[in-house]
Amino acid sequence: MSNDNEILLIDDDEADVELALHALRENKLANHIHVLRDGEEALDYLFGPGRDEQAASGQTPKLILLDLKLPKVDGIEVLRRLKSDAATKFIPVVILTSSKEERDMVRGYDLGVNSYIQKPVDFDQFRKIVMQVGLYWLVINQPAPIRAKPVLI
Amino acid sequence: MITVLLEQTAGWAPIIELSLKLAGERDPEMLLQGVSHLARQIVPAQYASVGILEEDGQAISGRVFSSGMDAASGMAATAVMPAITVLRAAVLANMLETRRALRLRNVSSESLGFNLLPEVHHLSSVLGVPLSSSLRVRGFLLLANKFDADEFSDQDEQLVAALASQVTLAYERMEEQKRAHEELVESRDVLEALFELAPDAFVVANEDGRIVRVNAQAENLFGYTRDELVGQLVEILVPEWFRKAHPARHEQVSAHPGRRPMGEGLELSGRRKDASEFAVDIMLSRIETKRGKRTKIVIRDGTAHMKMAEHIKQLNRSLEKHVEELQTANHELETFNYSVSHDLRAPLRQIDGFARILGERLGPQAGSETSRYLQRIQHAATHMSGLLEGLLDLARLGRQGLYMQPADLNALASEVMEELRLEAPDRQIEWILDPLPIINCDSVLVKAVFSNLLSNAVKFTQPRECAIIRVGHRIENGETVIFVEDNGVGFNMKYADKLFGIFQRLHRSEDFPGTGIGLATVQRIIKKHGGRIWAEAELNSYATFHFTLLPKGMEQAEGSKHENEVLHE
Repeated sequence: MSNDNEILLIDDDEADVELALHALRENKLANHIHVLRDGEEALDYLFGPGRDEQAASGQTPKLILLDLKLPKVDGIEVLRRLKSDAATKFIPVVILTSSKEERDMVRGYDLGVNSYIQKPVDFDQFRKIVMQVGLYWLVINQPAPIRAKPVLI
Repeated sequence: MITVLLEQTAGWAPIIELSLKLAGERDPEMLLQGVSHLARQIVPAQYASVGILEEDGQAISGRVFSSGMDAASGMAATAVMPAITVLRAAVLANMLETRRALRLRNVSSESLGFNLLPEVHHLSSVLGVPLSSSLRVRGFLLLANKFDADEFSDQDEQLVAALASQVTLAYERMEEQKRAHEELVESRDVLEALFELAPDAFVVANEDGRIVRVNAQAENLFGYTRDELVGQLVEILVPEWFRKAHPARHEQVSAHPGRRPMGEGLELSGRRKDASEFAVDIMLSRIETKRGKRTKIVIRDGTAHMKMAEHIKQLNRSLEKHVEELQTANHELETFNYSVSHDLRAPLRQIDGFARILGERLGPQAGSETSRYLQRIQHAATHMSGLLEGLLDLARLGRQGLYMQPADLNALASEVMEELRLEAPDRQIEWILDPLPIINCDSVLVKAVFSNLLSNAVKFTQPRECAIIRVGHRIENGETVIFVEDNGVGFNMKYADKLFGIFQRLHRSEDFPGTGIGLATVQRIIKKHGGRIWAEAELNSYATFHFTLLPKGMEQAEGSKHENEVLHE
């Protein structure tokens, strides 16, 4: 059960990742945080070969924190893939990004994102937000039941 | 009936002759004179008169042609009396009125109503018949002093009456012809004038392609005189390089008669006498005349047309280019804004984040100076973040449209006041909110205006022990002016023009922190609404910001006059 509370953090900025990890760890919210550094890596991890094994062993992430400006494949595309695949569409996805550009917010919600949060510049506020997001999605929120996977014949 | 009469008397022969003669006569005066002579031959008498009259209700007047044989000399005498007036009471007037023939004996010439001839006063016998058509009486035919008898007989009367009806017919036909001719001449004159004075050049060519007629504008346009053109081939007006092709075109038009529209071939050129060429619009049409087929060529100077068309094309091209540039610029600006909002904030967040983590790691070990430096780093990051936020908001304003709806300004202002009250719990501020109208505006943006102006008021009244901040409105020259007033540090009015410029600050940031973007944003919102903003202040005394939300005169037009009067208690 070591992967029980896995969080997927998809962000290309090393310093941002470090700050996010700092905040997540000090709140002891997740046993395991898997960091993916661009959109392609995220898609490989989520939809590449071996994904079924992950799913079978219960390695499906419980929460995805997604940045929008990503190299190669952008966050919106990752979100689109996540929400259009039956196996991943129930995973809560929180966009955690620098901007609150209207077009980003509209596209995000249009694709069915669960939450949209602008990273505040003030680190204290950022911490509080990370704690609240983790607490809500991992503890308070009741996730969708895991369905039997048709791959196990 | 005529044949019967002919058999009865040889006297009819001259009438037939007359009818034929009259049919060929074109001049009415000659006709009438001829008739007076003929009448005396048909019924031998000393005098004859033919009168053509015009009635004007009061009098009968007209022209009379008389002829006679002078009794003494046996010489013929003729008189034309161009204008006589027949008295109503006279015998002649009576005949004209009753339209019946008249026979008299031994009367004075005066009693007839006019003088037959000068010096003729006594008439031994008189026979008069009216010249009447079915419509009206046109005049009279009168014989006097019958030869070889004391009076005129019934047969005389019949003959003269028959002559009179022939004369009437002939005269009326002649009049009709004359009128038709006059009309023809008049309409020809009009057409001539139209042809001659037309703003386009007209050239008429015959079947051989030779010019038959031209108008003044053709002379003017091509620089030839009329005489130089008539008889020449039409090609004289066509540039040499085009002449070979031209007759073919001419043929083509001849083969397909009809009207060719103007402007169908802007590539056409004309050639002036001085060999210069110019663009022309041409319309050809075929005319069939008795003297052969004619081609009418209408030529319009296309130079101005071409120039205008070229000018419009150029304008369009430059406009398209501008639009393209603008689109590119807009696109770049949007990309820029997007990058700024994503990429510039991340480093600030990291500066703040790591400075804070560092401070926490160091804990109490950090000296007071180290702590202060870390704090400075964090403040700088926060300040820059505020600047970025303000700039992005300002940029976004330019791109966004207005969402207009009636908004309760009182509610907007009081919401902002409440927020600010909570933000500064330890300040003593007297908030005064006068009744404000309901105005058609973008409520989110107008709330931002209040938010900026009121937070400025809170900021600049900081040194006051008791701050007074007031929001109200007044109607000035039919305009609703809203104002925000405070008793703060104010500013020197000589800097008033700098107030709304971006990054313009009138205070040191240690005294009053700020980004210098707030009032620029406020001004942009108000301008977007079509309104104005201005300020008045006195240093260390007060500052008042006044603004309107609609251009002058628009408030009534928007139909919000009534709403403006809805005030809140």
